[in-house]
Amino acid sequence: MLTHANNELLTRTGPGTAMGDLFRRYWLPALLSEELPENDCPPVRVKLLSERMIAFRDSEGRYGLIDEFCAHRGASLWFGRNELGGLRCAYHGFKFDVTGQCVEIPSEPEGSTFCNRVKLTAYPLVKVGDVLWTYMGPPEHKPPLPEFEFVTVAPEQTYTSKRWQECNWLQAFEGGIDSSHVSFLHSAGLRHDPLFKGSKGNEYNLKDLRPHFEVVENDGGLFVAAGRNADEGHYYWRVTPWVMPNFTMVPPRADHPVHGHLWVPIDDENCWVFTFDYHPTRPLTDAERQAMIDGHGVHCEYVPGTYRPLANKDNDYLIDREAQRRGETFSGVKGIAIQDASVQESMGPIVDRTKERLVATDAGIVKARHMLRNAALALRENGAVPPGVDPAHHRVRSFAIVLPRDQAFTEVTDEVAVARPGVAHVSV
Amino acid sequence: MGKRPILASSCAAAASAAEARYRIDRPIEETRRTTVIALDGGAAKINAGAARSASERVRFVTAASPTACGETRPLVEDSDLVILVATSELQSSTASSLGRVCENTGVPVFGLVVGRPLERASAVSALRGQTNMLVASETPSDLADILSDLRA
Repeated sequence: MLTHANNELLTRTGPGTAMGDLFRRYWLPALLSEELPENDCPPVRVKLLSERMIAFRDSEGRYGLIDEFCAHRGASLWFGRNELGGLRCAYHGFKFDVTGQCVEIPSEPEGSTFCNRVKLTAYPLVKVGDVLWTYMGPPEHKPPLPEFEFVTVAPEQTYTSKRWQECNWLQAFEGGIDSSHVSFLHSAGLRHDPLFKGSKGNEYNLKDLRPHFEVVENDGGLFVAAGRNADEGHYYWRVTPWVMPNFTMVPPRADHPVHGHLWVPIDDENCWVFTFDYHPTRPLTDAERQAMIDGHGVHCEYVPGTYRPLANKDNDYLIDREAQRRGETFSGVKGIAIQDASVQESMGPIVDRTKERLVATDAGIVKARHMLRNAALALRENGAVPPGVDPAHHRVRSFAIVLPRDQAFTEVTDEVAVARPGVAHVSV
Repeated sequence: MGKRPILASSCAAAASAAEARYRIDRPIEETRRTTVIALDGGAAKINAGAARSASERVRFVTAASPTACGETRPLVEDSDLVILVATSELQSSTASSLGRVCENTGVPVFGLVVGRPLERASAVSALRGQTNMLVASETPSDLADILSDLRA
């Protein structure tokens, strides 16, 4: 349970809010690079942290993320012409470059320098991996670029998708550190999904529905671990790292690619879920990549031409009660991503956490909320640099491992929870 | 085959702020009784800090020896939730004694080990088999946060 004030603090990310200030200290995924596929391609509307912007790629391949609305009369630059090194407003022809600087006002007399004094808010937009990242905070505090392994491996080893989720970022994110729901909501996927099936770990998962949970602080966030009974005298551990504020990584299964998410606030009632899948040491197979494109694993199918899931709240997530009865799905909803989205969106745009009745196994969520709150307040009160800003914190991996019962999983994190180029992930 | 829902409140689209107004607004029942057991001297100090802001439903006890652990059985059986608090000072014999006390009571047991990673490692190991959920932290105030968030 949270107080109303703390729920407000953690869920509001617009300009001037404590959590908004915190998010503005990190590089955030803004778009997939496929959304701006070539120079002078059409611009794309982007809303992040309750700020409306326009993203474009100019004639020289430079990416820009600027205020959506023209400085002149406030028309949307989405209607603009992306040409000759800038985005020109369709209304009166004001032209802006990727830094937001107005570079041309056609109606001004020749030789006028007025446009030099017209500038839109602009944020850096940088391609790292398949993602275009932005930093929306004070320029003097801009951290080094992200180094999450899914964006640093070779392109043929990684795949990223994104989907719109119609609820606040926090309740979506909390699903990412809530290991106890996997044995229920996603149980059928472990048996059937091409990107999960065939792992010995799945057997342990399905046999032991009352895992032992451990939550351990680390430098960038937390390790949330679930230990299930394995062979005699051993635990099967699945360890999920959380890097503040919004990166989570699902423990792998067998030699399948490993996956995870970045949960990005669009506004207070919507978020983007950027979902990645990669293999640290080999290219994705054609079958794996196709399965991801087809919406298997942690990805989803889309309404054609959009990033809205095909199964969404307007069609009751295509719930299939017969499939539920047959045991093909636990909830009747198909696919890991939409199973999560359906229950999380059902909680409302911003769930009222004053009415929660948490249990002991929610300790990861409890701990994460307090770390976020403490970081937001420390930033506000003392300017403290929050955890997860340092790229060293990004070089982390999830892992699955069988260990003797008396051995702590933390004894092996220095070895197996660190991303090392060319070294395989540890999986069962 | 039943009819498809048509009302805004009878399909998934009901997950809107407007429909949230119609949620039943009845107070959530609080935890009846939580027992927080400090298993060593350092933990007793953490208990003392949390006791200042805890509700009357939470009772704080110290059981820093196997003998003292044995005496906590009635308290454990009378609880909805037991929280074991330990630091690097924990003796493994105390942890296993308390584990035997909690065994087969049906009461969920939550462990909190406070200390720096290397210093707390043996306490974490000692409590692993005795708890359903274990949090390892450097933050003593986690106990107050946990009590509050679990409505203890």
